[in-house]
Amino acid sequence: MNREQEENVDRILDLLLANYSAVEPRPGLEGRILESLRSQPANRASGFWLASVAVVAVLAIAGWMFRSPSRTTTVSPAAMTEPRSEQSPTPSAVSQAPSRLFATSAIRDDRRSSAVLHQPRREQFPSATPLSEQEHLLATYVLQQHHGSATARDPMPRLEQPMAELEIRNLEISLIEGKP
Amino acid sequence: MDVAAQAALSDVIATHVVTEMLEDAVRQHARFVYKLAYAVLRNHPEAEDVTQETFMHVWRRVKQLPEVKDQRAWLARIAWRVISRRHKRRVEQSLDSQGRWVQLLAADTDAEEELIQRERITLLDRMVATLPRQLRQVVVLSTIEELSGAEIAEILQIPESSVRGRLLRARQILQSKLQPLIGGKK
Repeated sequence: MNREQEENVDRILDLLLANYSAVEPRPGLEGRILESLRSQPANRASGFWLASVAVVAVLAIAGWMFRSPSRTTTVSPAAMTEPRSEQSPTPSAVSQAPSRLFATSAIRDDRRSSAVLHQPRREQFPSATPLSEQEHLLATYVLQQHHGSATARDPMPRLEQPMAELEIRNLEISLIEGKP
Repeated sequence: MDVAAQAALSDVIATHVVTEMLEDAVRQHARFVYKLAYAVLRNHPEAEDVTQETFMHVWRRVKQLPEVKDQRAWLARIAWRVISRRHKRRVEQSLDSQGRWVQLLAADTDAEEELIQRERITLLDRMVATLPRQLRQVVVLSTIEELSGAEIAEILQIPESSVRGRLLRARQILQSKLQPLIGGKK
């Protein structure tokens, strides 16, 4: 290969190499990159919240599973019918529980059920309680607004009066006078 | 203002500053990263993917950004790692149908300029693909006009003298492949 040929090859190679990486991206490359970068924190946040919700759900299920066997092991049909004095938990009773792991919650459940059993049975639920001072004042104010000051002085008797029976009269429709 | 509030405020300010720095880096260097990716992968969608992924990496370590002295070189190193992971070994292609390339090099570029240019790039693609990997890397990076020999050396983690040596060797091989095509012109 003579010198002229060498130079020619060199020139063509330079020409080819010069254009090898002369490319331009599609317009808006920077915008697209920035957009995807801006979406990143939101994605991370949502991931964080999803993970948090998942953890809470797992803990809730674990807690439920932890508590539910204690009920089945401690509250037996016999215990429900027996008097309270016989079913109060004693240290020996707790030690006889099938699993020590559930002993604490078993005692707690027992106390709760005994508190319910010892309360007298009421005729009305929720039980009727006298009005508090605030409720009394509110009732007074309402009656003053709607029924005048005479009843507002002592609203309670009116409130406690039994409701009179409603009377439904016959419907009377009068004829329309005039020419059609 | 208590200590916790001051710390929170300074954290917010720092985050804002690095976010602005990142946005500046994207505006200044996205095209450079794209060219670097394209030079190796020779595919526009892949080059854009690499550019996106490179800046995702930067975003994940954005707190390092204020400490970076040469952002472009730093970005080039990250991009090179991303590219290297993606780049599959190319199937070496022989310079078949020599007659086609001879006509191409002899063509009058006034007509069908763009098509001819594209074909010449394809020819060079094939020639570069036949080079050993180490030489190919240097040749490809040297075609990016923004990159100096020192920067290529930094990206490839080799001495600058090695870059020069490899480039010289690669050019000799390319010339030897080009010679028969040009010789056939006569």
